[in-house]
Amino acid sequence: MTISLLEESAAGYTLWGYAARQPGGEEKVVFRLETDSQGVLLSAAARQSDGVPVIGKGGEIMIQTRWGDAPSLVAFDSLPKAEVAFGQP
Amino acid sequence: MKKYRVFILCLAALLVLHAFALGLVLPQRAAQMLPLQEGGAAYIPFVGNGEKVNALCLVDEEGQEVWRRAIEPVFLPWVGLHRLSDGSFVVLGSQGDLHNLVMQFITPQGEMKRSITFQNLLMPLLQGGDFFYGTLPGQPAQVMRMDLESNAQPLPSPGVEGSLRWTEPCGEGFLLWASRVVQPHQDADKQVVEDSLYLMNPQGEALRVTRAAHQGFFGGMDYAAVPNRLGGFTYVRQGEKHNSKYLVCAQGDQILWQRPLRGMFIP
Repeated sequence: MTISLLEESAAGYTLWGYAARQPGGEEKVVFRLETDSQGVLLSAAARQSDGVPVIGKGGEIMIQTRWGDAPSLVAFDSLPKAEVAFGQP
Repeated sequence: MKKYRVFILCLAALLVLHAFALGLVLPQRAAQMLPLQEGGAAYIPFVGNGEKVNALCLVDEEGQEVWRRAIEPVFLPWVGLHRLSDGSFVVLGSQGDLHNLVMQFITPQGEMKRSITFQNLLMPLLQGGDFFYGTLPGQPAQVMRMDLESNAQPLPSPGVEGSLRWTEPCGEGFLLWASRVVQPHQDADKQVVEDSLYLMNPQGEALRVTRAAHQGFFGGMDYAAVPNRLGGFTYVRQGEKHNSKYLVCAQGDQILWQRPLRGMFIP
């Protein structure tokens, strides 16, 4: 997985990234991880997409992906949910 | 015939609704897309066989073209599209090989303002605020200020050591990240790597520095870092294995804490 954006929030940190579900796999997801101020994972959410998180209008995080051949910007929550296990030993 | 017309109208309406639900969709394929804080996006369209690009376009939030500006052709795949604080755009590209770079400045209204050619000078050119950072072969990373009005000016350097990894705009200035191997080892996962992070003001002076060493791989693809409220930086670093990552909180020359991040694979 690749973490592409990191933000400090009131509660801790928000990490945005993208990954494949299997090594070299074609099934791609984008994800958002929330941690506390000590980096302990609090929550995780993933969506089906081959895009990457980018900073869009007003600083909002959007997913830059493709629709047909053309690049597009979509809201994270508008994408289909993906069930992905995140861990932190 | 009427049925077909209704069908086509319904299909068109569905496509429009779908596109609306998707958000902003560019009208064509693009080599680069740059979302804008005020909405819309700038992009560099593909042309012909995709060997070169020769235009910069601006679209609004509905994907409608606002302007299109011809630029000096540059070769793919290496093309950079950046934005400065005055809203102007910078297209970085190569006119032949990577040692023959052209930097083109386009105003927010789409007027070509300047075009500067570099020959065998700075590699790579990474943006940090209104600056571009480059490394001269065999020398420390060099700060260059580039904007619409001035020529390339070297700025005071904070003594950056190692390889320049990343810069990005941060507040009024920018964040700079460099790394170097301080204890080489035959096994890549046993070497010691030092990451240096700097928060720079627009004059190129370091306001905040952390320098922390860890054991593990050098490099990786995760360029995510943020100045934290503790006075240091929080960033993601590569771990001892290619697919392991750590979230690290560092201050000065100390790592305050670090947490492993696991769960998925590198695409």
